[in-house]
Amino acid sequence: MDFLFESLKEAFILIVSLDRELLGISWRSVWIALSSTTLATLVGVPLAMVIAVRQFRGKQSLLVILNTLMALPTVVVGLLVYSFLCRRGVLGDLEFLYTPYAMIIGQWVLATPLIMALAVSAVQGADERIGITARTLGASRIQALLSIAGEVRTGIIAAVVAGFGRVFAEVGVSMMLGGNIKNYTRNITTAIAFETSRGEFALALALGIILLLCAFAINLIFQALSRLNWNPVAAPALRAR
Amino acid sequence: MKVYECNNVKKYYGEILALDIASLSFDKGGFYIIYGPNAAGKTTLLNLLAFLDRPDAGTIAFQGTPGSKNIHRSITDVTLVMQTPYLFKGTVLQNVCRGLAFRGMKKDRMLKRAQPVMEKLGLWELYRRDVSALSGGERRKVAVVRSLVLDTDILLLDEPTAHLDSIHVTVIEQIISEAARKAGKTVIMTTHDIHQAHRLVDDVIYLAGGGVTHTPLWNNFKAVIRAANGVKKAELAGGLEVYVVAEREGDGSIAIHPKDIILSYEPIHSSALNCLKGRITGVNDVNSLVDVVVDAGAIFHSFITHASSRKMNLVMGQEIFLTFKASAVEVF
Repeated sequence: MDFLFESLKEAFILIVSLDRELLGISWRSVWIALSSTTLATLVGVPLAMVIAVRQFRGKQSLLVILNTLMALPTVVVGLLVYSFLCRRGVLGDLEFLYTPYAMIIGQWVLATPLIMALAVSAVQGADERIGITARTLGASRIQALLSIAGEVRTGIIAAVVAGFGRVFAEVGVSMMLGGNIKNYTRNITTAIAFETSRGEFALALALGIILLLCAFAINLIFQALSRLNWNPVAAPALRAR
Repeated sequence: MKVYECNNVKKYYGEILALDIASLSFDKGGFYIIYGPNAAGKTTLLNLLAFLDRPDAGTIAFQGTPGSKNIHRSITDVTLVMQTPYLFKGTVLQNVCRGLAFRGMKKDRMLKRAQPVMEKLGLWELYRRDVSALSGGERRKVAVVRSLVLDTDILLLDEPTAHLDSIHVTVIEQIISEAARKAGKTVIMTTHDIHQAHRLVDDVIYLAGGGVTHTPLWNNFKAVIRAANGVKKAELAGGLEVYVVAEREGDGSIAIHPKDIILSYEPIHSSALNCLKGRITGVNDVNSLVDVVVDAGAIFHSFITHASSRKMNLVMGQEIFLTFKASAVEVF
């Protein structure tokens, strides 16, 4: 127990002293995870909306595949993206391997199916009168879709939060595609694995605490967003009055 | 000018024929009430007229153009208030202005358009209220006003007063009647309240079993048609039997024009096969006639003149006989 308390004490000292390495690793984790989540949201949510509202052949099979991909192991994604980005891969000329860009691509592949599957579920659970009402009021198809998105925003934001949580906490993709290069691709999860393996338990613990705090702060922001009276179509002035 | 011309329109849900209209048209500026019992096809018809759905067969011409063409333009010319309207999350004002926002209207113009209508209909004091805090009647009112502020050429309303108390019914009827009086506006409304239909317009469109019928659906009952001793009988819920003239057998509906029912204090011995005994449960004025409501195992309406009413000296609870011919019973 003494070992744990000592390590915890050292970890807090590192955090309070705003250790430069610690801050660098934390900031890298945040921006890489936010970038990949943003990309996954931009691709996943519109696709999910279309899949949810349209009827087409193979829809059920697609949903089964999406749900399966939610449980995709991070090392498998790492391996798959590696095969594209490595020197002999089709995207090898881009020289993205062992850069933050490779990590973003890998995390994007990891988060997209998760965000899509959860967003599809949220939209499918929406009241079917939303789109019809919008159409009867003269909405275009895109305006009608935006209306549905606005009404189920809590579910969509929950999907994005889950996607962020998945990429922020993953280690396999970051390790395989980023390579854990100091001051370049080392993020919180790869650093924890690395520092633990070389006996720097206090630093690893400090990183673990920061990982939890960052995840907590970002979830708080997302929750606040879902509570806003956000309406993609109505004029802002009408909300303020 | 015709705004809608429906020809041989059919709409199926699976194998069920929900709508089968040979010919029906609506003139520009008219106020139309479509009356029909549940599952008569009223909502299906309005969905087709609002371009939310397409017929499986036949054509619906909109202002002379087939409905499938220029569909987006058509959608902005027509608005529909659904039977159970959906209000978007947010305030009353946001909901009322929603259709205007879809049209890209600037916020100051939106308010200029919405405020007078809301004030007139007593909704302005609720403009900041979250719609989740509204009563059923207020929600319906918001939905009607939301469509009215769009000032579209055509207003479709699907049972806008269903399940409302009499105060809200009166208010919404006034709103709709006023909208219908506006020059050039075509209002098409459905109802399953026959009194309301006749209160609002003189000529009601009757819809039964998915088709337009020319028999007023006052005495409209679900029935099972059976052959018995060379004649056909319709068995109503509760076991009451009525002689009918019909080719078909099985489940169906019947309707009897109230003007075809003769009232008498003694059984009439005549060629009419149907003579039912009941008690008077209501006497109401309907336009220039008197609607006598009789419970004879089912509730029947019979129209008589004011002169006949005075002569018979009708009293509530009094025993009375209803007589009508089997051929006066319309079978659907």
